[in-house]
Amino acid sequence: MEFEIRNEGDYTVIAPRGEIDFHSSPRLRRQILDVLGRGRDLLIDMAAVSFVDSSAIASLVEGLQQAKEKGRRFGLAGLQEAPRQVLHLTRLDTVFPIRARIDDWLEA
Amino acid sequence: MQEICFTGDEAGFRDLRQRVRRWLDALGCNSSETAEIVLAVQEAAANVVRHAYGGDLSGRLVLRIRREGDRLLFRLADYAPEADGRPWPCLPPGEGRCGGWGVYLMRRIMDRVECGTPVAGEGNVLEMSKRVDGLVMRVQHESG
Repeated sequence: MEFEIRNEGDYTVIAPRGEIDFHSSPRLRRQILDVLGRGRDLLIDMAAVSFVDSSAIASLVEGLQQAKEKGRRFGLAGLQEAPRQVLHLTRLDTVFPIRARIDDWLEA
Repeated sequence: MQEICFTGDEAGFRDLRQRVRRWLDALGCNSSETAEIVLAVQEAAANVVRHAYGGDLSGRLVLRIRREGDRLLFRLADYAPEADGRPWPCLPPGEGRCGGWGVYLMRRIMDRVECGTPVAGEGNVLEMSKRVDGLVMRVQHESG
């Protein structure tokens, strides 16, 4: 997994690419917590992520919790079928704020 | 039958997912079925690395998959010391939890998840099975 990080207004956008499993999810987790630690609102652009396992989901949940605690916004966008299925199976699809595209967040 | 030998490192798991996907696609599973099964296999193998091998990524694993009619049978073996018999944690999902979904996902996706019997040299064996709708047509075609 690789990722790009960019600032878009009040948001920082983390855009991982590829598959995220227990080998790579600690890197994503560190980036998420780093951005939130700097007091930024955070979006995760999942458009280029084809697979996530439960450890990746755990990193996202921790990010959501941290964002809530810090009063920051946290959202997901661009979920492909497989990651969307994992969120559905874990019943987290109703917990995460999710929009179809990153632009849907930025234009809101 | 498909047999995949791999290790616990990142490349080993990437190869595992790719080969399981290809095999399921060739069998006629649809994309949703394939994605779920790949996830369950991933979670099972990740638990072996975490719990049986104690995080050692060099440990060997062997996955065998075979089709029996409209069911798929999975047997995942490792060569770690025999486990202490304590079940892996299987916690229900919840917003407040950051982990522990692996076994939950395996049980949610598969019809059966249970310990199997190790044979010569093996440490632990996990067996899983699942009836797959995408294979029903194939079975009907074969029997017709």
